[in-house]
Amino acid sequence: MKLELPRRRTASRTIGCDASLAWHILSDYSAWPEWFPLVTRATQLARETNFALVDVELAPFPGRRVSIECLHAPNARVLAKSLIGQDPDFVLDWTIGLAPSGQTLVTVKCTWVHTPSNFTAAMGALDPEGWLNALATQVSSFAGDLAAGPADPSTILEIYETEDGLVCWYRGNKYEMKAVS
Amino acid sequence: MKEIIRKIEVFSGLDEKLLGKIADTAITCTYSPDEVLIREGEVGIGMYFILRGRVAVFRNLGAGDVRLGEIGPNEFVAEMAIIDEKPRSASVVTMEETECVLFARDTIRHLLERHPSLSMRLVRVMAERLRIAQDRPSAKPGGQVPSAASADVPVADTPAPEDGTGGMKASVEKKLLDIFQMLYTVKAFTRFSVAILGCPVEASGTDALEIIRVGDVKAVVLSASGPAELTIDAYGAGQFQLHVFHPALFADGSPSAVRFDPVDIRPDDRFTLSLPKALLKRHPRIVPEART
Repeated sequence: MKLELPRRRTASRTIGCDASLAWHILSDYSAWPEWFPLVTRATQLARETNFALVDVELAPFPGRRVSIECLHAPNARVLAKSLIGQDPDFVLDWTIGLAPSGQTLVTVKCTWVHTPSNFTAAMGALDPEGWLNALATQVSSFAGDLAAGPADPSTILEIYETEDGLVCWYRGNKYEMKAVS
Repeated sequence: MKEIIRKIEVFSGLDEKLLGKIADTAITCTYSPDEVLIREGEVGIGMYFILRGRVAVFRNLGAGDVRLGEIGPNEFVAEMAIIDEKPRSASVVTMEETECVLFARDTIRHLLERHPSLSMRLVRVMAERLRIAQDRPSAKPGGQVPSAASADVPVADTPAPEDGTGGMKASVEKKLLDIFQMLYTVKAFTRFSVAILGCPVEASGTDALEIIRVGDVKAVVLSASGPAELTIDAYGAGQFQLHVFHPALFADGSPSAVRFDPVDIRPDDRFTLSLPKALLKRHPRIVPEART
C-alpha cells in the first residue's frame, strides 16, 4: 500500500521590482542555489524558449538528484515539477503579477506529495514564505537599494540618482523625487 | 486552465481527475508578433497548442530559410517532442499576437502510457501532419507554401520527388514506422499492435480498431490483448510491403517492427495476417469463371 499525502501551501509577497527581474531570477534555474533555500544544487540540462530540464538537489535530501521539468512564460509564470516517478513528487508554481505602486506580486504554490520516506525531512523545508523572502533579498542584490531600500535597516536616509531622477529612501519608505516647475 | 484543456480535442472526454492533472502542469503564454517559439536545432522538451493567433514554420536548408507553412488556432505545434528526443527540425515564429498552452513532455508522456485512447488521438494528429506534408509541393528557399507544418514535421526531411510518388511513398512509410517505433519506445502504444501496409492493398477485419491512411500507406491498429486477424486485399499490381509491431514480438523488450520481404502482387490477391504470431498467409487466387 502506498501512503501519499498531497499537501498544498501557497504564499504571496509584494516585491519592489518589475516583473521581468523577478521572472529572470525565477527562471534562471542554475542560479537557484544562490538564493532558493530549498535547492542546494542545480544543473540545467536543456533549455528552449519556454521549457527547461534541470537536475536539482534539495536541501532535505542531500546527495539525491531529482530531475525536474520547467515551463516558463516571460514575466508571468514559472512552473517546475519533478518528473513522474521521482521522489519527492512536487510542483512549484510561481505566478508573477502586478502590485500597486509599480511593484510585483509574486505568489508561489507548492504541491508536495508526502510519503513516509520524505515526510520528516520535507516538513521543515516547505516554507513558501521563506522562499519569497529569499527571492526578495535576491531581487535587492540585482536591483540595488532602489528596489528594496538600504541594506542596513538602521539607515535613516539614502538618496540615489537614477536615469529617471532622484530616488530617496527615508525611514523604510521609498520616494521618487520629481522636478517641480 | 481545466476548461481550456477540456476544449482541446485530443483531451476531450478525459475524466476530471486527469484533466486536473494536465491543467496543473500546463501554462498559457502570450507572444507578440515575430517572437521565436522554437529554434531549429534545440532539444525539444515540450509542445504547444495554439489558442489564438498564427505561427510560421521555417527551416534552414543552407541557402536560406524555407517557409514550410503556417499553424493556426486549435492546432498543436511541435507535438513530436512528446515522443522523440531529437533536436527541433524547424523554427517557429509568431506571425501575430499568439496565445498558446504549453505542455511539458513528461506529463503527457506519462498520460500516453496509461491512457491508450490518448495515444490513439495523438497518432491521428501526427498522421494528419504527415498527410498535409505529403500534399505539400517541394519547398524551395524563399518560397512560400500554403500548408501546415510543425517544428518536428517528419516529412519535412524529405521533399517530394518530382518524378513520381514512389519516393514519397517510401518516405511516408518510413516516417510512420518511426512514429510508431517512438510510441512503443515511450510505452505509449503497448496495448496495441500495428500493421503498416505499403500499397497497393486494402486491409479489413473485425479486429481492426482504426485504419490511419497517409496517401497510399495505411497503418492498421489492432488490440494487442488477444489473437487478431486482418484480411489484406490487393487492388492493383505492384509490391506489397508489410511491417508489424506487436509488443509480444519485441526481442528483449526493445520495440522494433517485424519486416516482411516485399511481395509482388496482382489485383485481387488476398492475404491474411494473424497476430500475435505475425503469420502472413497468401490465399490461392480465385480466377473468375469465363462467361460463355
